Amino acid sequence: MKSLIHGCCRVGRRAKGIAISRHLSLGWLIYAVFFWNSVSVAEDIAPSDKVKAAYLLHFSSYVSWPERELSSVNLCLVGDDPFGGYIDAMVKAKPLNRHGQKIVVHRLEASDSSVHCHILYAHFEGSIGQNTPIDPLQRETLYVGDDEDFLASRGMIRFFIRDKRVRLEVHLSRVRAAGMSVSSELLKISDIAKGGE
Amino acid sequence: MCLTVSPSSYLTLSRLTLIGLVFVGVSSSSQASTPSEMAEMSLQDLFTYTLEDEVSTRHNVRGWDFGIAYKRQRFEGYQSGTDKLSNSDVLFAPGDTRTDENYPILPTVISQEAVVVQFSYQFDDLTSVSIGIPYIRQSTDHISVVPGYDTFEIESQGVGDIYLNYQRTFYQNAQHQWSWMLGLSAPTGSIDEKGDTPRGPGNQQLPYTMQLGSGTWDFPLAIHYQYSGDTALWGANVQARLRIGENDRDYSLGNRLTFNGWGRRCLDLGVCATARLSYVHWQDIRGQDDTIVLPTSNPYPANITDPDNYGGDKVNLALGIEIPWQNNQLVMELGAPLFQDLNGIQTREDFSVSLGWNVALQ
Repeated sequence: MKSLIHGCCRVGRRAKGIAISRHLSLGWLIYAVFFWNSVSVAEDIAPSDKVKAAYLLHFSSYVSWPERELSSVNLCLVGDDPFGGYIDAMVKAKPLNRHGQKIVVHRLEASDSSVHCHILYAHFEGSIGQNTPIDPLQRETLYVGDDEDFLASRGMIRFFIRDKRVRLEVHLSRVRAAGMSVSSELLKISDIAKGGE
Repeated sequence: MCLTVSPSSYLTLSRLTLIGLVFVGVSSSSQASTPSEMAEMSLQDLFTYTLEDEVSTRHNVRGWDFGIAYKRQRFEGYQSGTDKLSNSDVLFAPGDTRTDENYPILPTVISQEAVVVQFSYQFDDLTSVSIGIPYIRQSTDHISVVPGYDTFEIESQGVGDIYLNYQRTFYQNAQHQWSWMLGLSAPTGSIDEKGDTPRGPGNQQLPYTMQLGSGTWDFPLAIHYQYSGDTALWGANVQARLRIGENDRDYSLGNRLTFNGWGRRCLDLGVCATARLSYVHWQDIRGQDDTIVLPTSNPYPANITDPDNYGGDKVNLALGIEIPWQNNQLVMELGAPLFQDLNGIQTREDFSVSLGWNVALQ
């Protein structure tokens, strides 16, 4: 590559050489390619995680909490963060939900109860479920997760993939027992968990 | 190694630069799944949002792939432009007038085989880098009017030009996917292959077709599009191979531009049938290797020694099958030209075949 940069040399019988400055054209191409690359780095999120992030933000509009005059909804992410800056960019683009409430994203340790989480999304690499370390002190919290066993213990809404689409499974009785309610619009597109009617 | 840019290369580069800059603008303004667009999606939109691409590529995320492919192309018979010629039309016979359209030495069958070993690393579901090492074997059967060389065969084999490709998906949603590829091909293949030809006693430098590499630093570029339909995948791509400067033998193989349209449909067992229609345009050789010409008024002893007898336009059809199992995939493809318009006097492509095996390493 050194000789590519510094150029050289013979001119062929039929191929007429052009000054090295013309290599700038190639330079622009390479620049464009890498600029382009940097533009799309923020998009390195699995499509399913983008959909899940969008659902999480929608939950703030389609779930009601007993707390009156809620001015903001705290969305807590516990465990591994599959969204990176993507969900922050979503909130920045649309900071208020349908009710004009501000959505605030928090990233917490499993045992952190310093923030009252209205929505808590638990995501852990590998096996998660009944043993997912969710702080029991969180009350009136919508617990959301992905694991198959997530609804077996404290989980309320589970994401799963069916027919190449992200689907929702809701443990309705547990949501109601925690003092929350789910709108019919959200229930219309959700499966109701067995035993969770 | 001489690294100048020929006028045609420069023109092509300029156009590609412009195209590239245009696509930069397009890519940063047409992302269908940007955070702001996803935030605007309704519940119903999310409910119907399909994850086709993610499901099909998830097994490749962050990991190594290994592939090995065998490819063969065979050329037989002659053609000038679109007119077919017989061997006797092209072979100079004693008593005939020697012109630049007949030759005392005539390749009759050219066979090119390559085994390409490729390692790829998938950084994520959008980005990958691959390195390919080809091993090439070529043979050409000849007839000639030179005494003692009525029929003869020459062969060459060895490592070809090693390449490094970087591929990046810059747009994807449930149905559409766009990606680009930028590569670098190093001149590791020999351009000094020699063999026993009628030009003289002992071994002589062989013609361009028998060399194992281009001798130049080449840039493979591509833009790919893929559409995921309900029952099939469809796609198109444009590929270019730009050759920069001349090699140590004072020539450069022609630039190459290929447009591909393809489709793939899978059956219940996972076996997929593929079809691909290609248009290829490639240029003649610029410059000349003076060691393979004769110091006479008709300096080219065989058509393949004349740089003007390279390049042309071609339309190919290829049908294939893909058989996946676990992390492996077998790929077979058989192709043949539907149309050839060849510069000068060239041997016609007869068919091409490729067999490949890919495995995703855990």
